Amino acid sequence: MSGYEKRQTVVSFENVSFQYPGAKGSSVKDINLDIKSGEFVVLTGGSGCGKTTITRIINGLAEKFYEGTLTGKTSLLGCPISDYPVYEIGKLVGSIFQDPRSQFFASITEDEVAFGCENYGVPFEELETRVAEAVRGINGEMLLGKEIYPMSSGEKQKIAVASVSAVNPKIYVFDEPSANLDMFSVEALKGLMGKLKEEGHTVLVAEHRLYYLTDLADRFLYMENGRLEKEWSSEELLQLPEQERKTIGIRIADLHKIETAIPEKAEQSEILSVCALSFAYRRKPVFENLSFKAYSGDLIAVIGHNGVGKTTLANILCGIKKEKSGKVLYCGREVSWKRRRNFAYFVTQNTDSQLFGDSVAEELKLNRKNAEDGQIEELLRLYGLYEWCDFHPATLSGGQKQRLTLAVSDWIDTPVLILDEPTSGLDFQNMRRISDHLKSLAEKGKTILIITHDFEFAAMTCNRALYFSDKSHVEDFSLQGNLDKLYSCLMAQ
Amino acid sequence: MGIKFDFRTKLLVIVLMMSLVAVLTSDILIYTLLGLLCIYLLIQGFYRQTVKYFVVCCVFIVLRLYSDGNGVTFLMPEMFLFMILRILMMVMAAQPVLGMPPGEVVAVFKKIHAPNGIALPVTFTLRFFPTIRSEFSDVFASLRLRKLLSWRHPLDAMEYIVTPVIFRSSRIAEELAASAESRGISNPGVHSCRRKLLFRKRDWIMCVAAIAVTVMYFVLERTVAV
Amino acid sequence: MEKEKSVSTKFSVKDAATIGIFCAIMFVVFMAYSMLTGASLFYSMIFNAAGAGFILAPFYVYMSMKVGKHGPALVYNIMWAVIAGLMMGPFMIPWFLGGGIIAELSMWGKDSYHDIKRVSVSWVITALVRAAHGMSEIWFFKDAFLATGVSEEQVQIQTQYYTAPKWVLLSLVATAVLAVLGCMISNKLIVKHFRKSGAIR
Repeated sequence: MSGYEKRQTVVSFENVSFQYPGAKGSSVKDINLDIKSGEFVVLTGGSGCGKTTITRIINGLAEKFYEGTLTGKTSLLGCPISDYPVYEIGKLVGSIFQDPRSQFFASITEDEVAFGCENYGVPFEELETRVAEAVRGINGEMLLGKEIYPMSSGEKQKIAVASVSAVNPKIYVFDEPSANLDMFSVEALKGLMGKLKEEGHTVLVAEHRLYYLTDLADRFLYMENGRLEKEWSSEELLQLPEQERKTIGIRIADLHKIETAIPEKAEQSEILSVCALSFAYRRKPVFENLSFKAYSGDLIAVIGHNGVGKTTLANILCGIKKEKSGKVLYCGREVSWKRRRNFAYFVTQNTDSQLFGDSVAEELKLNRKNAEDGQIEELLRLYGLYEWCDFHPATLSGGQKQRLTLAVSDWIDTPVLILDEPTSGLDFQNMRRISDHLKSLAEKGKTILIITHDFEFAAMTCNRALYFSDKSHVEDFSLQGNLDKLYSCLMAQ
Repeated sequence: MGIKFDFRTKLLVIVLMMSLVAVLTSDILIYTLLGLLCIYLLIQGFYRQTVKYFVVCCVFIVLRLYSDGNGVTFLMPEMFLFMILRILMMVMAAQPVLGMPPGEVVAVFKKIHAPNGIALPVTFTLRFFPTIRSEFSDVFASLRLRKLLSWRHPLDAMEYIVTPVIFRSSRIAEELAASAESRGISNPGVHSCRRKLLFRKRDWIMCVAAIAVTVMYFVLERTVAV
Repeated sequence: MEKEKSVSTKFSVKDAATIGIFCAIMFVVFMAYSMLTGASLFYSMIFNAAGAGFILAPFYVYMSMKVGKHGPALVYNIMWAVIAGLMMGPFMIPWFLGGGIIAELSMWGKDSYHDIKRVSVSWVITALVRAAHGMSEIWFFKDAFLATGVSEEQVQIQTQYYTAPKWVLLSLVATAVLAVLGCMISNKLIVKHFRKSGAIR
């Protein structure tokens, strides 16, 4: 923290605790924090550790929007946070949230970037300049005039940053901004954050993925169970022994240190064969002439930039969409699209749209009405969900919901399982549990395709990668000894 | 991409159109008015919509000619055929307002100082329209994969479709509201607008033309009817 | 410093977002449903509202209970007033607006929006307003139609399904019954899912 001691304090917490309405305990307890002007601070820790709550306290949403109870002394630029109405804080603290899809308000770029300024009554003459500057700052000139809804997550996130920077607050607060982004977009985000730091803004980031912040952060604060437990500088974090890092449960800070432990698989029976598959959307080709094979026990990372057709491929393989031409063979036999759901099950990115029961146990019973309690208990214990068997699925955390959808797919038991970004927004422990579950499913003989941007996860889970470099090219390579190639594929636009 | 008219011009056209369709009885007049409406939409850039409206109108015109005053079975009495064409024309006149980009709608609200209690929900409504289809299709896709959609158990199907959509939408509402609050939507002061709503020369021309056409049709209706 | 926790009764941005988003869903579902059933004009004019009263109920009930304060009934009907006014004639505006005011007035009192019976009443009123709106359209076009040389008698016969007391009553009763059924089922869903998970308190 060299050089910051003499600077002005912009945010301070003294024995601060916070409880959400209806919650059993406090989300954060006895927090003492002192952030100086121009500092770049990263908050990290497992799911539920309280880092998001801290960001919400600072931007005023915790008390006034989530209606929780705050105790202790807080100070934002000299005044207690509780004294400010939320709209006043918005001029001083800019917030960028986790999900780019539910952050934007307007339908086109300029309207969105101007949104905050309009709310604060920036005069008409100044608006255009502010919008233009903010868009320049994010290198977003090609997004001008375009509709936001069809954009990629990375582009949406950039616009979110531009919208905040047009208001020009002193402090920026990011809540897991990289959760839904591919690695290329994370690099772009890193660039934007670097600019903010250069301009002298104070930045606070709550994050799981730490690798892109080691060049920027002045300090890393680790939280557990609502308390601030440890503090590291970038060097200290990078030098943290692997064993200690895994015990604490945080994601790796240096991606180049990852070692793969996946043994080379002996050729097993061919389960899936895709021949010359093509798909077009409204006469625009999405992919053409795609061919590959998959074997039982395979764990394949499906990678490629957004829009290249990975999700579409998954939809075709499980029978939700019909291909334009080509064949899909399961166990050597061609299967029409209507019958493919008997062979492949697709766990989509949006877990909320896949859970229908009113309890975890009920969720499983939906697909097996005559299941015995003993069978349900066994499956739930396997996925670490038995204690929650009577809870409503909507009350589960992100990691628990993901494990529940895996438990459902385990029970549905198709030979092929496809997952779309199963680890986005998940902390290290949850990511590792998902990885372990998938590996054990593969040992049982399932063929698993995982659409992912998560390098750490792919490296510890998969044995193969299918890289969609463009419409008609797919590269198939083994991950053994090939992590550098995986890394560069993930970083390509 | 078409001429852009001010919202006041578009509203005037709607009001004039409503008064015309309530009064016109001559078929020729209605058909020619339909033609003028198509031009009105085309010059604003609504190419695809104009074609669709035109085709549907033609279908009803043909039905009316075929029915020869007796309606088409009891399902479509003559009066309904009479009304449908006119209602379609009112919808066509309203298309430029219905198809306003959300940013412009918000600008209109600010200009007319619409109360927050209605302006805010409408802004969120417009914002959410494009995403609804994918929310439902995600749920339908999951239900098909899990083979839970059975028309033999319609109430169960309703529960399975409606529940996840409500959970998701409620969560999105909260996140959107948080995002808006953190950027000052509740600021009690004056809110500015980057879109300037100007009544320009083209608006004057359009309004005068619309009024002239309306008067002319009223007069023609009188003479034809007599 | 302990803060008194107060249940806010002020209309907030969160409430506006919930109302706005659920109104959007109700419009889209209504349009999709109308297109499916609109093939038969007869059905669509008489029973469309009844079916809509049933399938839209869960969204209306959730929206009302989630917001929990005055506003949803009125705002929903105002939105309909504007859309119907633009598409079908200015007389629609007072029709839906009046209905919305009556529906909102029926929710007079504290905590009415947490009570399924009261919410059902406002939903039935809303559904009936839509069921009956066709009558005002017929009134709007009647003079022009008569002027084409049709007799008053013929108009009566052709619009009987919409103006004869027997049919009007049938349509309104069907709408009310289905709206109530829709609310009953919605309440079951509310208890089973949304109260259990804490989405609605």
